[in-house]
Amino acid sequence: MALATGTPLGTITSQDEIYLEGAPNIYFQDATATPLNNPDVSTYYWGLSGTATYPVYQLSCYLDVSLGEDVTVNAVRCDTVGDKSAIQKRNYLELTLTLKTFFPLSVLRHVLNISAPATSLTDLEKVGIGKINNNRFYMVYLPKVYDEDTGDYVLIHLHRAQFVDAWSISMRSGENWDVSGIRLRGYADETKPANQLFGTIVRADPSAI
Amino acid sequence: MEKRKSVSSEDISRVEREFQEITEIEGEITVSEPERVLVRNLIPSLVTWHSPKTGEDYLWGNSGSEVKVLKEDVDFLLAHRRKGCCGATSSPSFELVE
Repeated sequence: MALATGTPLGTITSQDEIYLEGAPNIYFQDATATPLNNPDVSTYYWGLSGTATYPVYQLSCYLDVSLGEDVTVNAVRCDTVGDKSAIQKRNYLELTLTLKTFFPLSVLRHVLNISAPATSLTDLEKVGIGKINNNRFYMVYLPKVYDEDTGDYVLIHLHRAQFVDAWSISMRSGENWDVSGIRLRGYADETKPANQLFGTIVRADPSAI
Repeated sequence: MEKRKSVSSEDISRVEREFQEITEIEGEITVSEPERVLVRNLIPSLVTWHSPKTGEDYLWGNSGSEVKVLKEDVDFLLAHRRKGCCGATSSPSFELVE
């Protein structure tokens, strides 16, 4: 409701009364693959399309999902007046979560930075814990349908991410195992246009846009 | 020592006939290879399988790799599926290469 007094004059763009709840789905795919929209008609790069060589992986059960960023901020300080501005530089985006599901190992091995698995088709799955491969990058795709009736959704796509940091597996009595310390760091992808160097956000909502 | 006879045109045609007959017989006894079908691995893993039906051992490299499989083993592989989560249906472990 507009205020009787004190409302600014001129063009005003206000926010929608739409509230998002809960974690998005989390998918990732080897960044060697090309995104589904590569690019789309508006020259944005986003979406995943799994192939036999580059399958899409989906995390199943997780909690404490949070997306943030790391930015270097240096003030432009003048002794006469104090800070006049700030120089900011985005370093990376970071998705953190705690994973509650473990299997199959062929998915978990990416999250834990462990070796390629070997599967004996009918009974065994094996992975080694060796050196970390620092040359593995992933596209990360986080869609969230916020209106189930109309299918309105928002998605976040990171172009070039890596699982970083040390994980920790909690094995408490009476509780299911969880893997904490999972950190997906989304770096700049220099093959993408400057305006979407780190990622893309897409919203689909025909009734509101 | 017997004197060597000269070779007549009849001799040549006889040798050619015999050679042709031998070639035809050899062609008949050639053993044909068992029929195989190219199957692609969709599991993101190195996959090994010993077929109890044919006794054949198979090894696929990572996801996307292809191996020629005995026709008798194809049905089992195409029916093998991996469980899905989050509303997704189970996904096939292998597919035929067109």
